[in-house]
Amino acid sequence: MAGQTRLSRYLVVVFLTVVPLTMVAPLLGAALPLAAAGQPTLDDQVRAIASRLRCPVCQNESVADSPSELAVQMRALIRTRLQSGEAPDAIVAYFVSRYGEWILLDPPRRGVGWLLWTAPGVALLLGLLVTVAFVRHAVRRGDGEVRQ
Amino acid sequence: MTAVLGSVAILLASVAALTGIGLLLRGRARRGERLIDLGRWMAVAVFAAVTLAVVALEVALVGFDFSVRYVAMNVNSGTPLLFRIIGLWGALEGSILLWAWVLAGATALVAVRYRGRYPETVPLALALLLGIAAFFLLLMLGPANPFVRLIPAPAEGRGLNPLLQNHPLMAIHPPFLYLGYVGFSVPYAFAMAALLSRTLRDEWMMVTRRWTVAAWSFLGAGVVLGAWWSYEVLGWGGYWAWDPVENAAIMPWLVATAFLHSVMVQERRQLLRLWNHTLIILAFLLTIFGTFLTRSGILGSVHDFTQSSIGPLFLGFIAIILGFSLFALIARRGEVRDSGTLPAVISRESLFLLNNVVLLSIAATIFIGTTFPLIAEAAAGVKLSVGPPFFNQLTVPLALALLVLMATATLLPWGPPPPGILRRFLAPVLLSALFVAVLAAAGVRRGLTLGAFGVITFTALAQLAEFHRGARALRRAGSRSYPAALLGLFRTNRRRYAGYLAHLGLALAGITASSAYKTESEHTVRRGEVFRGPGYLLRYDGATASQAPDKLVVAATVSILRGFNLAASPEPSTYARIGVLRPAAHLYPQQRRPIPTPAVRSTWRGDLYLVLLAIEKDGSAVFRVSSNPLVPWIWTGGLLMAFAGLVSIWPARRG
Repeated sequence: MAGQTRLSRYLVVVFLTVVPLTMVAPLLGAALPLAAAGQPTLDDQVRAIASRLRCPVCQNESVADSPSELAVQMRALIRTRLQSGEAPDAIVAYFVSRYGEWILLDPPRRGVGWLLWTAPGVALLLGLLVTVAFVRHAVRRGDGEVRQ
Repeated sequence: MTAVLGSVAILLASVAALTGIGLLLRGRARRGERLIDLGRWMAVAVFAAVTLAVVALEVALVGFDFSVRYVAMNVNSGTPLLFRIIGLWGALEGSILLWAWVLAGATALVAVRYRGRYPETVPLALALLLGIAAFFLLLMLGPANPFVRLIPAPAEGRGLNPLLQNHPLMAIHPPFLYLGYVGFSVPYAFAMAALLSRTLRDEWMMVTRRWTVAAWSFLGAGVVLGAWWSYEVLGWGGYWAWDPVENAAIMPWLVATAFLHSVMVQERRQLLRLWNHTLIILAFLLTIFGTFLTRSGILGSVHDFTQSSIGPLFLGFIAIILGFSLFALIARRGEVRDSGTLPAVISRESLFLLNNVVLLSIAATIFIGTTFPLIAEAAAGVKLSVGPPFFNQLTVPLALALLVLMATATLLPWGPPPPGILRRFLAPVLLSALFVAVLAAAGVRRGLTLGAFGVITFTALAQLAEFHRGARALRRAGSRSYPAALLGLFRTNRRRYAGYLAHLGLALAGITASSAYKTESEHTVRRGEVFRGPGYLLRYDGATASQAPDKLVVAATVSILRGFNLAASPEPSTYARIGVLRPAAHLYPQQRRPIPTPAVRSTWRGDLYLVLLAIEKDGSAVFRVSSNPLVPWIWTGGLLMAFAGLVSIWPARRG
C-alpha cells in the first residue's frame, strides 16, 4: 500500500515537471535558429573554413573573426573558390601553400604536432591509473583495519 | 611632486618588506614575541606605503600630470574621469602597482587578523607573503617603474589604448581578476609555512579555506567579466577565443576548483594531504605564470597591452618559487602522511578524485596548447599555431565527463552508498532523457549538441533534486513553508547548498547553445534599405558622426522590424518597429584603425549582435549581423557561480 502511494506521488511529480518542460521546449526551439541547422549555407561553409585559419596580420584572431582588410579579402577568396566548386580541404591546402602550416589553427597531427595531440590524453590516462591505484590502496587499508 | 612621493613610497615599502621578512624569521627562530610583533607592523607599513603610491599615481592620472611618463602614455586631455581613474590598470606599470597593492592589503589583513594565533605558521606565512610582495616592489624600482618622469613634460599625453577606453566593464574586470590571482598567495603561503614548520596537521587548510573560496570566486567573476568585455568591445561576436591571456586566467581557476573539492576529502577522511599541498602550490604558480603571460608579451594576444623587458625577471621568479616549493614538498613528503582510509570504491570521495583528474587534465590540455607554439619553435624550429579547433576538440569531451561526475557526486552521499540509492537518479535521468527527446523532436540534430544539453540538464536536475530532498526533510522536521525551508537549507548547511548553487551550470547551457547555433551574415546596404537579420528584419536608417572629447563617433541607426518574411509583404515599412540598434565605430586620435562598437539586443533567448564594419564612399554601410542564442545565460550563470562562492563563506550570523 505504502509503496503504491509513493509511486503515485512520484508519477504526479513527474507529470508536473513534464508538462512545463514540454511547454518550454517549443520556446527553446524558437530560440535556437534550428532551420539553419539543416543545410549549411554558403555563409556557414565560408565560416567553417575561415575559422580554421589564422589571420596573418592580427594578434591571435581567426580569419572568420577578424575585421581586418586581409581577413575580409581572404573570406571573399574562400567564397569565390567555394562557389567555383572547390573542395574545402583544397582551399585550406591553398592557404597552407601560401603561408605555411603556421596558418592552421588546428595543427596537423604529425611530426611535432603529434606530440601536441597525444600529450593531453597521456596526462588523462596517467591520472586515471594513479587514481585507481590510490582508491584500491586506500580502500584495502580500510578493510584491513576493520578486520583487526 | 606626486611622482617623487610615489617613488619614495615604493622605496619605503620595499625596505619595510625586506625588514619585515628579517624580523619575522629572526623572531620565529628566537621565539621573540616583540620581533614578530614588529614584523607584523612592517606588513601593515608596506600596505600603508603602497597605498600612498597608489594615491600618488591616481592624483597624477586624474590631474593630467604629463610629467609622469605613465600618465603621458595612458591619458590625454580628452580622457574622461572614469578612464583616468582606471588608467591605473591600463598598462604594465600601473597593473603591477595594483597587484602589489592588493597583495599588500591581503598581507596586512593576515598580520592583523591572526595576531597572536598559530605562532608556528603565521610568522612564516607572513614572511613568504612579504617576499612575494618584495618581488613586485623591486620590479617597480627597476624595469616597471610607474613614476618615471618626463622632463620637460609634454603638453599632451598619448592616451589609453582605445580598446581599454571603450567600455566601463574595464573598470571592474581587471580588479576582480587581480583579487583572484592575488588571493591564492595567502593559502599558498600558509601551505608552505605548514610544510616548512612541520605543523603538518590540517590547520593551514581550515585557516585559509575562506581565502581560497574568495579567490576562486573573484577569479571566476574576473574571467566571466573578461569574456563579457571581449564580447562587448572586440566586436567579433564571440566571448572566448582560447587566447593565451584567457587561458592563463582559467588554468588557476580549474586547479583551484579541483582543490576546493579534494580539500573536502581531506577534511572528511584525512586523505590526500600531500596532494592538496601540491594543488595549492600549482594554483599559485599558475597565477604568477598568468601574470607573466599577460604582462611579458611573449605570446601575442588580443588582451596584450604591454610590451616590456620584465619577462626574464618573471621567469626567474617562477623558477625560484617552483624550486623552493618542490624542495619543500619532496623534503617533507614522508611526513605528510595520510592517516585515513576510503570507506568504499564507489562513493562521493572517489568521484571527487576523478573530478580532480578531469579538472587537471583540462588544465594540462590548456597549458600544453598555450605553450606548445613556444616550445615547438624553441626546440624544433617549427612555427605553428594552436587555436580554438584544438582546444574545443579536446576540452569539450572532458568538460562533459566532468558534468556527469558532478551530477553523480551530488546525488551520492559521503561514504558507502546506502541501498536504494539508485532511486535518487531516476527522476533526473528520466527527465533529462525526455528533454533530449523533445529537443530532437524540435529539430536539434547534432549528436554532440544533444548530448551536451542532456548532460547539462541532468546536472542541473541533480542539483535541484538535492535542494528538493533537503527542503522536504526540513519541512518534515518543522512545519515551515516550502520556500522558507529552501532558504533554511542555506542556514543549516551553507557550504553544501552554495556548492549545489554553483553547480547549476547555466553558463554551460549558454556556451553550448551559442557555439552550436550561432549564425552570422554580412550585408552591404544603402540608406533606407531593409535586410534580413536572424529572426528579424532590419532597416538601415542612416549614420551620424559626432565629436566626443576623446574620440570621433560614427554611429549607424538600424531599426528592428517585427516579421520574418521579406518576400511576403512588399511594403516593409508597414512592419512595426520594435527597437533601434546603434552600432558605432570609434575613431581615437591615438590609433588609426577605427574600433567597432557592437550594438546588442539581449533577451533571455539570446542576443541580436550587430557590428558596423564600414561606411562606404557612396554612403552605404557594411554590417555584420549575428544571432548568439543563450549568451546572456553565460554572464548570469558565471556570476551566479562566483556569487555562490561568496555565499558559502559569508560569516554566519551569531546569536
